Amino acid sequence: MRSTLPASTEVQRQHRYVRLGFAFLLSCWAVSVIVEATSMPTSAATPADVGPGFMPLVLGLLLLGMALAEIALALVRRPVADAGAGDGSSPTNTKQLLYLVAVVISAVITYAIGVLAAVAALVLWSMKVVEERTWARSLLVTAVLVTLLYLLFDTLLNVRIPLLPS
Amino acid sequence: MLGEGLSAILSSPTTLLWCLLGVTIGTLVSALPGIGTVTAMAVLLPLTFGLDPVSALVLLVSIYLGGMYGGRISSILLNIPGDASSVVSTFDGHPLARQGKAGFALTLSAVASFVGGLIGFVGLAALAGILAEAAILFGPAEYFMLVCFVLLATAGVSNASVFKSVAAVVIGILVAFIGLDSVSGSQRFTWGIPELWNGVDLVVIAVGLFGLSEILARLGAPAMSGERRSVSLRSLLPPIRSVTSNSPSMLRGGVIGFLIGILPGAGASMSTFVAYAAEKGIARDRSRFGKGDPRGLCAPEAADNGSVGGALIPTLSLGIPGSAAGALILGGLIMAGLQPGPLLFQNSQDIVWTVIAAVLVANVLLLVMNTMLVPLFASALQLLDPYLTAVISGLCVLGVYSLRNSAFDVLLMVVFGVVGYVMRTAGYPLGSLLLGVILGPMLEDNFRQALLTSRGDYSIFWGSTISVVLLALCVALIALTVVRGVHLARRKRSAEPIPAESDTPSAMDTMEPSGRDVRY
Repeated sequence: MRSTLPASTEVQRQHRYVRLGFAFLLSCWAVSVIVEATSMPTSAATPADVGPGFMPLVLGLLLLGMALAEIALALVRRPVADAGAGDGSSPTNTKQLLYLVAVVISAVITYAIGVLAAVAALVLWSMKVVEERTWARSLLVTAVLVTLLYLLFDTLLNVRIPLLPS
Repeated sequence: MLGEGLSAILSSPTTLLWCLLGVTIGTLVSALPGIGTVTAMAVLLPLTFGLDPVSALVLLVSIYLGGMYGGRISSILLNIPGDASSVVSTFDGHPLARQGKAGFALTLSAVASFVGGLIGFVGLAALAGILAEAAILFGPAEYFMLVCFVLLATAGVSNASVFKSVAAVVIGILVAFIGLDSVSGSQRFTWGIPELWNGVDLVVIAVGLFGLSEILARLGAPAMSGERRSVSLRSLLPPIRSVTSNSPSMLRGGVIGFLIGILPGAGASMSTFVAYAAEKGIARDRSRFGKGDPRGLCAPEAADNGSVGGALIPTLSLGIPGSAAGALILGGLIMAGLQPGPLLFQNSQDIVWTVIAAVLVANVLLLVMNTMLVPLFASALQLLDPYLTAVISGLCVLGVYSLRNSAFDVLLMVVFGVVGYVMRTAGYPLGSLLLGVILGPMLEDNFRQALLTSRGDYSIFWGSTISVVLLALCVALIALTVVRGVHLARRKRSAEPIPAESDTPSAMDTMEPSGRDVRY
């Protein structure tokens, strides 16, 4: 049932790096969890309570072991055609990065220009830069979508959204 | 109680409208290749804030059911599954469409979905209350063992690598620990950030993991390779006559789906494969399977929808979801101020039975919509696709921001979006992570409560019959998983030089809920 088309060697390598990189990040996080868990009291309210650090410590150790095993496996095994690269796509591309930057910027500028304007900017960016639509279509879609979203949340669902920056 | 639940929906135009809206959105969104039911539910979860509990839950259940119906449309018409559970529908559904029987396939599958949904509803209505009564016998130790079993089952039953499923569950549990400890009040993993004292909201995690990562996946994927066919209105006209001859397949599929749906972690996609395999197994003439056999379409479609009722049983009666969609319904219950579990049936009977009745009402609405309005859906599907990035972006950001009017939540959502995308790429199942987030606090609280009750005596975890049974099930699951792993490794060795690694997950699970990433 799987794709019979082998992914390119370059894409396989990129996916392997993603797998390795994620396992490395996981192991770092697990170490930080273990360090913080060991600094927590082992017994909080009564001697019978194992304390807030017990379960994070156990799970942190488990996660660290699994992350290290994943790194070892990824290093030992050769890249294969089915290592998460089934659609033959590269794990990262410019569009994704442009989009992520836009979402982060829209979250940051929310403090300055308000959430609705920030969402409008994000939608416009998504349409014009990421999806590469014409200016007219991008502006039209942005206007319609933001209006609909505002009506949906504020008017229909009564979820108060501040129009202006707080 | 069921009658009261039904009348609560039917007598309230507003609730009925939310039900209609839910099934429409669910069908439309899930029909779009690449967007699954769970993504639709996650992205739309913030919409439930402004609603009363009944409308909010009816909306979520309707989206869930609508999604189950919608996934089949693109499977049949375009040969592109809307989500993982619709993959099997392409096997015989698309060949039927290629033979010029698109209308036949769509109508037949809609009826099969209805039959499956009806079986799921009957099972849910019959068993949920009974299980809730039995659940009162559960103390903290029993609940701890039950949560362990569910988490193990999620990892073991999943098609993804057990290793990665367990890792995803552990990540989810650790994420759930962020915030103030419920017993001692001490800060855990907040890194001195006051916004994290209350932990990370489930909506932020769900929208980031499923909504934002879905956009990243869409932007990263090459153009869809599915064959797009123009479908004439005439071919979509519903042929009623052939329905009755395929009803045994529908009934079998519905029962299989319901039973598998109850199992934690098994989910709809597994039930569709089992139903298809069973149907093919008992058929005298198997040669037509895969070439447009109606039985190969009816059984998995009925199983897909039958699993909904099954999946709702542990979610409502035990407060323990067995799937990502169940976890989101549970999130909806909590956001509505309700405490899922056995007490829900005592304290909020009216709401529970309204939710159960919503399964029936939504099914009826969906049957009507999916037989009468299929041409409309097919057109809407093509119209909406180019604007999905913008629509999902707007919904995600505004929805998450509206939680606490906090841009910090939006930034957190971006973090979870990136994590979700990387996890998809690396083959980790996102649904397991979400289950970990939901069940993590339950796991720890019950573990500590049990030990407090027993004054630190660990034998409480095998001190009752229920605990022993659950412990035995956990051990059996672990043993089964190990045996399966060894068996796979042996098969792999004997099948050399086939270039596939045993721990490589099936896209079915790792990429769920995105149908875009499904390989078939």
